[in-house]
Amino acid sequence: MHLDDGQLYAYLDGELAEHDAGQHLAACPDCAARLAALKAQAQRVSGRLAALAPLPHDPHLAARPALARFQARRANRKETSMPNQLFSKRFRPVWAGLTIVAILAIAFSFAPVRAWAGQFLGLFRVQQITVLPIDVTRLSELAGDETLGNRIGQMFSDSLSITRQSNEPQVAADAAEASRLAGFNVRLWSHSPSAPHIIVQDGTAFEFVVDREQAQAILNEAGRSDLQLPTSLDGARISVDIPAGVTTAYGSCPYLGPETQGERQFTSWSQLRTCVMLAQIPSPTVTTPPDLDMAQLAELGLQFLGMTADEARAFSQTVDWATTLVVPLPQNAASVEQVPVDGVTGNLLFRYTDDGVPARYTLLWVKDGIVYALSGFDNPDVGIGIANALK
Amino acid sequence: MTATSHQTRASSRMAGLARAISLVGMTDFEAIFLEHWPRVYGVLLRLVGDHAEAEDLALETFWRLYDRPPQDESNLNVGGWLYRVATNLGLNAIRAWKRRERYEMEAGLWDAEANAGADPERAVSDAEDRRRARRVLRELDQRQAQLLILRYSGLSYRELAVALGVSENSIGTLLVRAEREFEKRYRGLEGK
Repeated sequence: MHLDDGQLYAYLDGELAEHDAGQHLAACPDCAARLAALKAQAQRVSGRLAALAPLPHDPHLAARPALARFQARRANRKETSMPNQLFSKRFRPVWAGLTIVAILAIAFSFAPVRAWAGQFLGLFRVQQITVLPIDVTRLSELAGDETLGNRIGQMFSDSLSITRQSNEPQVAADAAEASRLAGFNVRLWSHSPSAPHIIVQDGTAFEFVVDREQAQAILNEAGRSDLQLPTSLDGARISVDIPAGVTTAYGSCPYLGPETQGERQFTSWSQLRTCVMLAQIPSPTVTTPPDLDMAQLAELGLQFLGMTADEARAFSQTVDWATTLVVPLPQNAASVEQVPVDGVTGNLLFRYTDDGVPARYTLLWVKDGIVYALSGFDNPDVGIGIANALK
Repeated sequence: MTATSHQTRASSRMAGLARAISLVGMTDFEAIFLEHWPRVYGVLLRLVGDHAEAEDLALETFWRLYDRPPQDESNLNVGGWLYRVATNLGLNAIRAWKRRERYEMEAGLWDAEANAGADPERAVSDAEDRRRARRVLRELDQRQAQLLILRYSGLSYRELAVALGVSENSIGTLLVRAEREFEKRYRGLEGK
């Protein structure tokens, strides 16, 4: 039987597995002729493509420096993503999506917005959480705006006074010690395969007196002079009290304890993949003057975040601003879904892999006045299982 | 919605994703990068001929691996995936050149100027050869172009089969066809 062109070609390339091809060729002038024709064609094409071969003097980028450039580029891509930027600058030790502190950080990184957005109505206590996906394209363009950043920083340093300083985080040996330190009943994962690392973060309290002019200047700077703050906001005193909270780390997690010998850096995401973190904190309380029209401020805040006036009004009407913590979530950054957890309804935020960070989830729920956030990587079902096994 | 129905749905949704991610961890990633960089970069340098652009496309190739790793973690498959993505990016890049190339041709620039050292005539003719080879690759069927560029970058039949998702036994036949098509088109251009 003759060899087909493909076999002949593979034979030329030394890629033909059969052993008797040589024998056959010796005995078959037809196949030998076709082989010669294929060889000639291969040589012509090879010659033409050889024109594309890099010249000897061409510089070649070696793998190690290339990897360094890759890592620099990766870091760069990370930097430009808004949530990461927020985390990296002001809340460095806090891991994106890993703890309730992180969730509050999202909220408080929008603090000027939040003040106007009206999270803080009367005596605000978190009884429920609403996750609000928002298109932050416009807002993220502002993230790199230094003037704006400085103005916001200035406003905080001018108007914010800490009324209760928090101390260094403390390590607790078990749930009992954590409960004693934190002042509430701390729950742990009852089926944990290993002893968790328990950190108690002291509470803090601060007051914020709104300077309407300054706040309006920030809106103007951000290109949103269309949003006019009500005059009643001027001089409004907003008090925030954040109680002590407890973070429990299972598996291989970033270090959250008291700073000892500088910061410890994690080395790779693959190590972190086993990490599950549970944060629990009694609801923060926020006190605002009773005459402040929170729904109005909320609408302004939502518009600032990227909603249209109509959308903001529609959403604002569905929310009890006195009891609901609204967590603005950049659209497309994560999916949100309501899930039954720990006997109540929780929010499951799932963020697909990006910036080189594996997929991760955060489960948020409120039970008996305690806000819980449980975060981990890959499979949210694991998190739901843990949440249902808290004791 | 019951917990069970949610978990079932979530499980199926996550299963593929979680698996994909768990297969190429960061440390593995670095090893893969170091191993495959030289050839991925080399293939792209052949295709686009410009260091900065080749580097950029090679980094983009690895970025995609990092961002959305393939399902199968074996080294052979990761390599195949990388070469497929790299050649796709490279071919897209040279297709996007069309306009720029026409401008350059009219302006009589090419890279003759840069290489006009000892033998300007030779430099012009080399540039012409490169232009013609790239033009044919650009106009060929994508698979055929990928096959040729990878073959002449030194991939084995097995690696080619994985990169293009075809059987190893069919590579010989596919190469014969791709070379015939390449040669036909190249000759068609020679008269021009």
